Amino acid sequence: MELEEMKSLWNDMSQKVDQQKVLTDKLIIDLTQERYENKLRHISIPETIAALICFAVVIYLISNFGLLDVWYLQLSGAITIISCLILPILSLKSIQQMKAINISKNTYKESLTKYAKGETRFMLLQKISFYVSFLVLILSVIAFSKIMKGIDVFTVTEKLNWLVPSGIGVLYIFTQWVLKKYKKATTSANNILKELEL
Amino acid sequence: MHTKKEFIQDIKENEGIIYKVTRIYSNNTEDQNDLYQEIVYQLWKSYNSFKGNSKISTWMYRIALNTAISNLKKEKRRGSQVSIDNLLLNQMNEVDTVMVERITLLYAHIKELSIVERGIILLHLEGKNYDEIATITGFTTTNIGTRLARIKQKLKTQIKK
Repeated sequence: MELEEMKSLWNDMSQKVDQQKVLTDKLIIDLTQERYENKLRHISIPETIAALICFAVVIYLISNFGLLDVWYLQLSGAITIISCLILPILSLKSIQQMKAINISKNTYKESLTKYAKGETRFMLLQKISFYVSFLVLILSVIAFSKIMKGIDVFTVTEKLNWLVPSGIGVLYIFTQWVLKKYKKATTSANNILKELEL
Repeated sequence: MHTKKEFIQDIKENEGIIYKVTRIYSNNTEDQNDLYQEIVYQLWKSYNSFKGNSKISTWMYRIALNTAISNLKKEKRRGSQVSIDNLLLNQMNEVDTVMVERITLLYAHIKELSIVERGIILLHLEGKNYDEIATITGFTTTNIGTRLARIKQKLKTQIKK
C-alpha cells in the first residue's frame, strides 16, 4: 500500500462512515448520562472504602494504644497510624493529578506533555506507596498481634525464624515486579517527552 | 448557551470523527467503545465552552484527541456501558470485505506510529492543512511539516516491509 493509496483509502472510508448515520438522539443522551453515572460510581466506591478502612485502623490503634507497652511496639503503632492517615491523601492527590488534563482548553501537545509527566509522577508515587504499604503491613501485624492477642512478635523467636525469611522472599518477588512495571511505564512516558522536544 | 438539540445535531453531523479517533487509539472493541463513550461525554461536558470561533469539527478533533490521551492512563475499571458494540461494527457494514481488510491494514500501519504521531497523521489524512493541524495540536506549522515528513518516511519503510 503506497502513501497516496493510503490517503485515497482513508477518504473512501471517511465517506462511508459519514454516510452511515448510526447515532440516534436517544443513544447520544444515553452515552452522556451513563458515563456521568459511571464516573460518580468510580470515584466514590474504591477510594471511599480504602479511606474508611484506613481511618478505622487509625481509630482502633489510637483507642488501644495503651496496650503497646514497649517502645518498639509503640513505634510500630505510631508509624502505622501516620501512614494510614497519609496514604489515602496521597491516593486522592494522585487521582487529582490524573485528571489534570483540561480536555477543552489544552492542545494535543499540552495534553501529551501533561500525560507523560503525570504518568512519571504517578508511577513514582505507586513505587513509593508499594514500599510504604509493605512496611505498614509488617508494622500493623506487630501492633495488632500485641493488641488483639497480647503477643510481642519480637519475643516469639521460633515464629520469627520462618516469618522473616518468607517476608524477605515475598518482598523480593514483588519488588522485581514493581520495578519492571515502573521502568516500562516511565520509559514510555520519557520517550513521549523526548519526542515532543524534537 | 447551547441546547441539547444543537449538541445532538452537531454530534450526528460529525460522528465519523469520533469513530476514527477511537479506532487509532484503541486496541480492541471494548477499549474503543469505552473511549467512544468517554469522547461523547467530554464533548457534552465541554459543549458550552465552544464559542464558535472555529469550525465545530476543529473543536471536536481537539476534544476527541485530548480525551484519547487522557484515557491512555486510566485504569481499566469500567462500569456498565451503553451497548455500542454493534454501532461501531455497523460503520463498516456496507463496505466490501476487501475494503475492510485494506482498512484494517491501514489502521495497523497507523498504530505502529508513536502516540504523538498518530494524532498528526490522522489530521493529515483528514485533509487538514499544516495551519489547521498546528491550531489543533499546538505544534508550530514548521514543526508539523518536519513531523509529517518524518511520519511519511516511517510509513514508507513500514509499508515496504
